[in-house]
Amino acid sequence: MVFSIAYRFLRDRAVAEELAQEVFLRLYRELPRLQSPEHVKFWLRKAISHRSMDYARALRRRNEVALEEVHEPGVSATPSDPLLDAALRKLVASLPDESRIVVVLRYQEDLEPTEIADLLGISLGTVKSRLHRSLGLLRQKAQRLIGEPIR
Amino acid sequence: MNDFEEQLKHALRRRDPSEGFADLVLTRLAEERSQRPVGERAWNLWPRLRWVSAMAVLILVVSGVVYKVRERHDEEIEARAAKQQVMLALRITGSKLRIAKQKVKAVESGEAKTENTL
Repeated sequence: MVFSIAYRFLRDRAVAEELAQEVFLRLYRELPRLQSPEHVKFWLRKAISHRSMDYARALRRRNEVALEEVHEPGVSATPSDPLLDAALRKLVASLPDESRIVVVLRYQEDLEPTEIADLLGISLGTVKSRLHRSLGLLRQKAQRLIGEPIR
Repeated sequence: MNDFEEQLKHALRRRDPSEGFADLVLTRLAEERSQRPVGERAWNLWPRLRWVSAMAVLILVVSGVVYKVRERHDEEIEARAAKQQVMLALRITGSKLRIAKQKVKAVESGEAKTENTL
């Protein structure tokens, strides 16, 4: 869960593992304050989401290759195709940080918008609008890629 | 969820970290524990001690506040009693003054009658 959120958000295995390790070390220090396994799960998701966003922000400040600059993949694929999966992951990576983390938490972690709002400390309305906007954008770009309408 | 969302969910399914990730975390954890200063380790070893000291501080603060409130309450009672005494003294003085005034009036009216008969 922890590694996967960072990996899907940053698309860099090494960095994701490093951040996940950091979060687990912090968890060890925080453990006496966490009351239940559910609380631990919530804390882990929250910590890795914020740490990943901080990392992406710092990366941009250092003028390295920004994730938003990842080009759309040039593939032609049909639904349920592994190539489409890869293309979708790249398209997700091209979303702005704030929308990308919402999409990852919604579709990887299967969290409800209320849970995402709670986790990221933003309003439910903001989560819903980011999801709606991101889905529209992803659908549009994916349609362009495969050349046929997507439901 | 519609087809597109299902596809997205499939594309974003969880991935596992590389093998040995858990061992690496445990190694780093052990390193961190050995590097931590003795004082800090002792502090973490006795969370109850922290709890007890926090409670002691809380009790001190609360008893200080209670003492102050009581002190103020006692002062208020004393002030009220003093006020009542002053009021009583004033009332007594007032009634004595009235009696004296009446006597003076009586004396004055007696003198006036004598002058008239003369």
